[in-house]
Amino acid sequence: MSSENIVSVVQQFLQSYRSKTPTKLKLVDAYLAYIMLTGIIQFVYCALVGTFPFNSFLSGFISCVGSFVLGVCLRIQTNPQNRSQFLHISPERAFADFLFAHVVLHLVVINFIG
Amino acid sequence: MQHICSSFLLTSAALLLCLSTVDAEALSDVFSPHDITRIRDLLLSTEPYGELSTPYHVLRGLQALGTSSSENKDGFKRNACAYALSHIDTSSDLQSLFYISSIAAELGSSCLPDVIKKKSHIQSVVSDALETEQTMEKLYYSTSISTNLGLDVNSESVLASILTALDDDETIQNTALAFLTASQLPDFDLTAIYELVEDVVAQADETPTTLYYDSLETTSNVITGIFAMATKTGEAPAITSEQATKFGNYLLTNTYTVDVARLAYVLAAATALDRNQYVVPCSLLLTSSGYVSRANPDIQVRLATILGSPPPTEFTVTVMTVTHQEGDETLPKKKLKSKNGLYSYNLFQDVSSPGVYTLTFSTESVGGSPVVKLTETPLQVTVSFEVTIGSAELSLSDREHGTTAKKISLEYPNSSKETLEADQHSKVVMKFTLIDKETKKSALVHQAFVRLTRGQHEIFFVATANKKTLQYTFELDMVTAAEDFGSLSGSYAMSLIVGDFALENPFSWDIGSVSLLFAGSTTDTGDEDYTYRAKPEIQHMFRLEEKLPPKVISSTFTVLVLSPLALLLVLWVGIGFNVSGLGTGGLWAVMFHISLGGIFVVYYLFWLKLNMFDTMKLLALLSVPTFLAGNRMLKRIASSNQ
Repeated sequence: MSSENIVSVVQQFLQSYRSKTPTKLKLVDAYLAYIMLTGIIQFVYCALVGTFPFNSFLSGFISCVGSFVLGVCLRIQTNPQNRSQFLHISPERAFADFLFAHVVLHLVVINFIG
Repeated sequence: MQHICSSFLLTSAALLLCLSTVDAEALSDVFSPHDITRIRDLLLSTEPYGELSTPYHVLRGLQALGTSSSENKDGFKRNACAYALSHIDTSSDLQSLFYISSIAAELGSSCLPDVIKKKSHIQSVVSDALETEQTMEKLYYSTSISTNLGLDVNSESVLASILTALDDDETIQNTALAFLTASQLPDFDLTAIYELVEDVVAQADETPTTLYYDSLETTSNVITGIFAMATKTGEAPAITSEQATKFGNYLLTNTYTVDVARLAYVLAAATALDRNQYVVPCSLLLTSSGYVSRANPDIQVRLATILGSPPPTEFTVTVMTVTHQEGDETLPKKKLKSKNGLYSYNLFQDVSSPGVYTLTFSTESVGGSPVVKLTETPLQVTVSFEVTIGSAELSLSDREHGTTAKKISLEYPNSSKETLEADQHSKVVMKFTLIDKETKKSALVHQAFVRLTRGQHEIFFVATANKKTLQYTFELDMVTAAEDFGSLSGSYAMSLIVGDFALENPFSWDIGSVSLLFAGSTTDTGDEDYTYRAKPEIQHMFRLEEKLPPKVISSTFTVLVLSPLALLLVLWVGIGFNVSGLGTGGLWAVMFHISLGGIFVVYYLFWLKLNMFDTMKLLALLSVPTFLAGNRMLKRIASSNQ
């Protein structure tokens, strides 16, 4: 019974996701999934061959993590359902912040990559 | 060794004790006749003269030594006089005239009248000099010139000038010159100057045996000045006998100079110490050998003043104490009689054993005498002896049981022909006695060593004496001595060395050879190699680089990591990427994208070759268009969305 419940919950979730989520947000979600996958693969590699050179691993991993976080921020800020909390920040403004933060993040990442 | 060290310490302690109670009551030495002859010859061989001071000092020195017949004396005198006279007219300074007048006065009637003829010239120079400045030196010279030439001296004004000059510049040299000047003033109260004597003497530098000032000239002037004042005033000077003796000791350290001026200073001061009526230092000298034996038991001493002459009055010399180096003291208190100035004493009346003895003497004058009385003057004398070996035997005994395995009797001075063989169970024992040749009794010496040699190796042992039987024993325990020998077994040459301070015939006796076998004997390693050589080189190992994973795996994973990008594109297309909306931004969008692309190019270059500073500069440049374009683009999008 429980397995049936889980399956039906998941199915419902996916259904409502497909229908109710705006396209823009779906695009961002896809981007987030991509980032996460990249991070996981990097981590697996490090676990396999060891941490040398450690700085390169950290830089790559932090790039993934940072990008993911910034992506999540963008999603939150551009979600129309959250509009009431972000009255002063338009989606364009959120996107501009997203871009600027990425530029800074990538400067740090490139510096650290060695 | 301990025996020697302790007795040496005792001797030196005894000597120091003797000397420290009375630092220097007797002179350390006196002028010998040889010294006097040497100095006189030196003084007479200074011609031809280069300057006026030379004949002045020569004559002063000769006067101190006293007149005696000398072959070339008259010629010498004439030359000196001629030299002095030749310089009168050309001399216009006070010092030169002082020298000339002193030379003339010394030579007397043969020279003085000629100088007196020029007295008007001399007097004018003197008065000119005294007009300008009246230093102590000028006063001394001018007064001496007047005295030498027999001219009048105004005592009152000279004395006043002396006191003024001393007030201006009170140095030791000036005070000494003040004494010398004041002593020439006829019939005047000189107390003001004479009372300075005690102070001046107190300011001298002092050592346990000498008293001196910073230069020989000053010291000499002080001494001659003090005694000139004493003679003049008829009062004893404020100088103790010890101080006078110490001054004398200082003068005696300067007798070997060849500089005529220094010799004159030494002699003038020595004469003052020798011939004054108040304090005359003296010395007690050993005239016999320092070594006495039963064959020659007499010690002879004499009293002499600094110039080597005996004291003018009769003296008795008493032997106060006789102390052996070991500390045994006798107090003979014997009065010695003088025979032609020599006092004899037979040491063997009061001592019998050989060794180094310290005798202390005291002197007493029959009447009153200016010569310093001695109370405890020490002299060192050695009573020597000769020894020979009495009975001697070498034996080999067992270490544990003490039984004697072998005995070899030895005969000095022959070596033993038998070789003793000792191993680790035995003990080599040597017993011998030393016989004093004269008394035929057993004697002890300071050094009785047994020496064992094998090639370069040499080991010494001390033979100890039994104090009661006076027999020497040397024991070589093969186990305990193994360390000394380095366990080197083999045949060793054995010899006995006998010596002592007072021994007349120290000797080394070659006894023979012994064969020593040590337990755990080592092979002869030869001499240790002490040469310095380079140590083996250390190769530096650089830090090993960590191994990188193989290229296959890294490449695989590079592809894997980039692969989600493909997935992303697929998803985006699937979700519905608004491709047509790309144009919304317009020109600004294009510019924005180009600038952003430029930033990423800068990042790529930063990774490859740029440093942070350059990157920052480029970023600063690029960020302006990026921001502007981005801003405009987003505005357009926003406005188009509404």
